[in-house]
Amino acid sequence: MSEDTDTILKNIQSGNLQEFEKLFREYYPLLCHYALRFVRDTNQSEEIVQELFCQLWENRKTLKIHTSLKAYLYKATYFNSLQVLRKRGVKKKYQEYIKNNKQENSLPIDSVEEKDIHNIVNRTLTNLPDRCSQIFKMSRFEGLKYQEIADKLSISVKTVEANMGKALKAFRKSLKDYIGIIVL
Amino acid sequence: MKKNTSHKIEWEIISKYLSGEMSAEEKLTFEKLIDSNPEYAEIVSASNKDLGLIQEVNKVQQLFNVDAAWSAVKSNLSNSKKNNTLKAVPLFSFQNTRTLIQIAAMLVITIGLGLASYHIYTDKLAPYQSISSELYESGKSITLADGSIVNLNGKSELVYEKSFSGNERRVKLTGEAFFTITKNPAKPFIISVGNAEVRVLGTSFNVNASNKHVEVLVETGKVQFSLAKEPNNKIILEKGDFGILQDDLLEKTIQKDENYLSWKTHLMVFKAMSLQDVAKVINRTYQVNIEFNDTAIQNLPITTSFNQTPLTDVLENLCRPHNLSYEKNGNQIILKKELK
Repeated sequence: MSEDTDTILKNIQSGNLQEFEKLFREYYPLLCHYALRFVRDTNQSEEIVQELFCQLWENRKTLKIHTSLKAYLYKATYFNSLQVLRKRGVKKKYQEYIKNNKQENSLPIDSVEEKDIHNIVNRTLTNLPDRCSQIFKMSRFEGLKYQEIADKLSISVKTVEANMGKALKAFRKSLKDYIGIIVL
Repeated sequence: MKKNTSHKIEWEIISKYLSGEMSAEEKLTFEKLIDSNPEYAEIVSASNKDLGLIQEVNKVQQLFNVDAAWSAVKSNLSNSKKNNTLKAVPLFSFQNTRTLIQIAAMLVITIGLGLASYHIYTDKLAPYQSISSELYESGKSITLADGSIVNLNGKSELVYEKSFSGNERRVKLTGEAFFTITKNPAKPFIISVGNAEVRVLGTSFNVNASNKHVEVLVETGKVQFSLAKEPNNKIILEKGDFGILQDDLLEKTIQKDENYLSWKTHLMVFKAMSLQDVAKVINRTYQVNIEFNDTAIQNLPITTSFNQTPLTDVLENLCRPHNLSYEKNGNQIILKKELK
């Protein structure tokens, strides 16, 4: 979502907490995920990002961003992560790297490009009718069968099918350009 | 570039196929259709990739709990209120503002008292709540106050705190459940189960308890598994580890049974397994009870796999090649030799 950096920043600078929360919610998982690449510790990556946002709020008045807000957040996360690594010391870092490298595969992360895919998915999901996204989540995220969803929501399996189809189509439409790059 | 042909495409059917909701027959027909139509095949494969991506995005979001993080950050923000530019717009204009203030004050006090007593009642007097499942019921799930998710297997019960107010998150389990715990290093999540205690910070794992025997299988993260009465008698389990507590003895091993979590995943793999053992897995997965009317068929070797397949299709697939038939009556199923 490449919203106008200036407007968001101005809103935040004037103390608009809702806008700040929106920004936080949008970027928190992405930045944590990004920091995780360097520090290889989910707790630490969360700490880094939480601190970053606290600083951002504290220094909002004096803050000047010349690039996009997104680029700024990623860059700051990167620098703060490196700082953490420096504190940890190179030797320890290497050990941890080796130790955690095995775990890397278990993190459901590396194949997801953090850039915009999260936003595309989230936006598509929120733009679906409520019932439709609810059904989609129940099926894909909670692993419920169509019949189970139908029972829970007191609707017919046909309705579940129709909504699932609708969601799938919407996702195909919004992810078209993205997947195109990967597949071809 | 190809033209967008999506108006001809039957998304419902693609979705049904990719969600594993088709019967074997439907699947066969659909796969034939894909084979004969490369454009269609392309869309199905792209959609399948979409679903994979969406799942990954969801996983990353689950990995980091935005709600918990936001409340942590929010409480740390200094002078967050000072510059708040929100202005209340009056709904009614009272000529006498004092009356308005008086009414407002009364309302605030009344509602406040009501809310306060409600909270005191629900949180302090009755801080615990429970969810339980019947014998033939699985897949019941609950999201706890901290965002953690618990999937209950059949005949199980979970007692939990409505709002984890203390410095730990404690629940009590009877039976079996799969836990996906929201990360919170400040508040360990503790499961009391039988004579054991399972302590975690944030991870996903399965706990299965039956009289004096407790099993823990870890899917992600780290879990501390200990005796309730001796917290120092403990083992640490990591991804893939399988811990057993039997007669006060803790043991760390590996779970070789590929179908251990089938009750949750609905994924079953059978490699030259006897029909009798296959039936046990199915019983566990679908919360049914399979019996045989002929002991001769119990040892038939079965090699196949099922992913999210409806029970009737599973039974159908097992029976057909061996010339068997089945009779289903509620949760009771009888497998028979076909007499033809």
